[in-house]
Amino acid sequence: MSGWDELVAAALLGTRRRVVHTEGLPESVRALVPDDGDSAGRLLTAAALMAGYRRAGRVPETGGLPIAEAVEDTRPVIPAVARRRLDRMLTGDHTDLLGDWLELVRRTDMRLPPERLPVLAELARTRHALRSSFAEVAGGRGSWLGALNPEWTYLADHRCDVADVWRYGDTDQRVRWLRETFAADPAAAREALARDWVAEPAANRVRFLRAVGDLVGDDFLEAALDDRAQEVRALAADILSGRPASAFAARMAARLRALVTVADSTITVRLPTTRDGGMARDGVPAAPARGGQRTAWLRHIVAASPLAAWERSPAELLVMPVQGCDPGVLLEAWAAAAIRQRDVAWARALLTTDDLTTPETAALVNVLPAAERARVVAELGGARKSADLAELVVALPAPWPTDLGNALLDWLAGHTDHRAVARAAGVIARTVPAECLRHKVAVEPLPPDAPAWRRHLSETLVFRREMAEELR
Amino acid sequence: MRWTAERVLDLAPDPASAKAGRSQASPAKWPSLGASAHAVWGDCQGSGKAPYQVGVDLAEPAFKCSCPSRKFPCKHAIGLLLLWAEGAVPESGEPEWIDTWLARPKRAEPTGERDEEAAARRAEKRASRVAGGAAELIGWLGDQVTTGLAVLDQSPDVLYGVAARMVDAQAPGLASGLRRAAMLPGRGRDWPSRLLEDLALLRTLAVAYSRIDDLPAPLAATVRTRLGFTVDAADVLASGDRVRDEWLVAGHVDQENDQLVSRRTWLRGSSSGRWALVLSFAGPGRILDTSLVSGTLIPATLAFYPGALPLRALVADRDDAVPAPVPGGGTVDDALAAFAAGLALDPWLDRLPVVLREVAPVSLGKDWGLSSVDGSALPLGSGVDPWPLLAVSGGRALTVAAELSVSGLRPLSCWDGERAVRL
Repeated sequence: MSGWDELVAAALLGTRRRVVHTEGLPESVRALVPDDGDSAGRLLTAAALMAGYRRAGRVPETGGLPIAEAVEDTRPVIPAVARRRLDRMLTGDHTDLLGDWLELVRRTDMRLPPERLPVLAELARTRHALRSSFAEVAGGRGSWLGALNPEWTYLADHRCDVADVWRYGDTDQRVRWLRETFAADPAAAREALARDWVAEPAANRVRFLRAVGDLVGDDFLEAALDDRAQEVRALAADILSGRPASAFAARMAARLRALVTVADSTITVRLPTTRDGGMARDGVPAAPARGGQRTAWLRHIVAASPLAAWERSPAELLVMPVQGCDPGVLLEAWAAAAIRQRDVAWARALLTTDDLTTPETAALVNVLPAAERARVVAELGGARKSADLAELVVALPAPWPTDLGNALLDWLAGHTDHRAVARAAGVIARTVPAECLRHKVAVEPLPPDAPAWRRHLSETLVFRREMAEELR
Repeated sequence: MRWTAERVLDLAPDPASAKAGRSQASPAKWPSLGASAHAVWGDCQGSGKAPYQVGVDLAEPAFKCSCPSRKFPCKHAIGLLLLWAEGAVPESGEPEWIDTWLARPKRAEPTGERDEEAAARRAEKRASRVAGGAAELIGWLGDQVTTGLAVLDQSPDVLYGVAARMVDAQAPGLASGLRRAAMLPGRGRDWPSRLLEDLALLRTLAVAYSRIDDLPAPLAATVRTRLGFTVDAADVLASGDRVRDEWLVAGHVDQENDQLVSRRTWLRGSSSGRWALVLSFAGPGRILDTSLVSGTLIPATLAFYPGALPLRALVADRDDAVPAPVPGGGTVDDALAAFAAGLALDPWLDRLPVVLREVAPVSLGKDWGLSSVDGSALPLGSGVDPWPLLAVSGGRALTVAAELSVSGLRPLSCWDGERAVRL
């Protein structure tokens, strides 16, 4: 037992029970410990001397394991103003714009201040929407951190082109690999997917199909209609419904023709009487979500059939009387088909009717060519209640074309106060493209009695403009 | 000298105030504005009818605003300073209300002779109380060691009880030492060893006070400081050791105790190589000194407090900060040698600033550490977030300014190429 351990043991047990031995202490310390006096005082004096002795004599640790070095990043760090803005966002000021900010950084040839990578990594860990842009901007230093900290593995191996990712990565990494490889080398991606498809668990098959279903061939989807898992079968049928030239579409068209006749400016519908094996295989569901079973089958068949199978223009069809079922059933199914098949003529025609739900309207607007969307939304803005348009705006998928952004800002500028538009204003402020950031609502001074949403709108637009200017 | 927006925003008591302050930084909201070398002022049109009258005394800084906000400084003052930082506030003569306010008594007026007598009586009374407290602590520690420290594992609260008695004895240094010791029992396998070291050194401090008149003056000053006696800043400025140099701001650490926030900022003289510690305190509603920005170089004269290892200092006068090059520094062995040399002067030394050059992060089992090229390493202290430093290093060697304490290193700043990074 060393001299120090001896002191510690005596102090723990008490000098009443244990004699203090100082023989083990270093010579220079022992010389300073008084021989007389009470043993507790002697012990504490010796301990104080030893504390100094031990602290002053501290030796460095050895045998530390060096960390593999990150790839060198010689790009300049983003400028100080942009670093300050990042700190503002990290302390709660417009944190919702962090994704856009990272996107701006990505477009420059600059790097993030490395000391902020950990806090961003922690943030993006819980906010999945930030992950991919952050991982890309963080670059090599990010993957390096991802390899060191198990919480941030999502950063590791980002954009790794080693095919081992497909074999050994986690599902997120494999989905990313699949998407990137489909863009870079589609043949290799198809081959990898085809080879391992059968052996993958159902949950993975669903994720892969969701990620790249639009990119795989009809044959692959046709085969997936016979998949073991119901969810995969339904997803495959859903994707095939958007492909009017497929064999699947031809089968659906045949079913449609057997049920529907258009003659004498009237649509006559016969509801299906049974659901045969072929219908089941093509995804017509057994149990209806609502309404009668036979009506549900009809709705499904119409929604999955190519719109061209009707052989009439949408304008003609939409005004025809319907016999044999509720006209609303057909309208809903046509809207679903137009959205799936991205049929512009049908989308245009459907948007002139009044009977669509807001999500349907938003999805149909998104089918239109970018140049047309602004006009249609502006027209809807004139015709509809503010609350409805606000709801539509929230559902409009981004990115928006410039004139759509301007049209929506014009629309907001016309409101002095309206609670219903507040939420839409938040979405519009975040979503309008960069070209709209000098719109008059962002530049002109606010009226003194401006409501909170209006102030927030200009603040957000100004914030976005400034952050873009700082990262030019 | 105008401040930067960054320095202004550092004054905000919380992020919400910073944000609110920014919203006020629009000239349209200010029907009148002005600035002189000593103050900035203006009228801010709020939601009410009459504008708020806002003034900032740049010297302290101190704030004055007629708004009812309990935030300090309020958003109007922050907004005003931001406008000023942008150069949007015109120079003009001080209006009367600012002039009167600037002339207010800032500290108690110097005391007369009778007060000096009273002060001497108070000092004597305190000295005898502290001596009583020290004697009580020595006796209590003797009892503890006689019966055994092992019981403290079950009842560390008795240490808090003794700490409270040391507060009553006006020896806050002994009280805080006991409170730190109270956190040790049961923590980690070597807690008996660490507890014995702490208590033994605390006893030495109490013993030193009992014979303070026999100690050399610098050591006596150190003992008094560690016990919690304060030295008047005016005395330090008047008679403290003065050093003129270009001081590198190596970094700072903020600590919150009860309601008091304290900041210790470490400076290193470029030519003297001497270290200095500038403390800044802020109670509720007060703000910390933000004039020393990490990684800059400040030509200044510092006045040092007395002590065997004089570190604490006041900025007596200073010029504008200039950008600093990457500072020179030493190895891990140099840092340990400096710590040993410091202990020789002040045996209670708990932390010492160091600049380490060419140190790379290494893994030391469970902990992270910093290693010189020769493989000598020191661990990062407990409670230190290693990730920002790791991220800046990328696994490569860099220059790091840190506090070295018994538990290890607490990095304060590091250099990413030429850029100083506050950690």
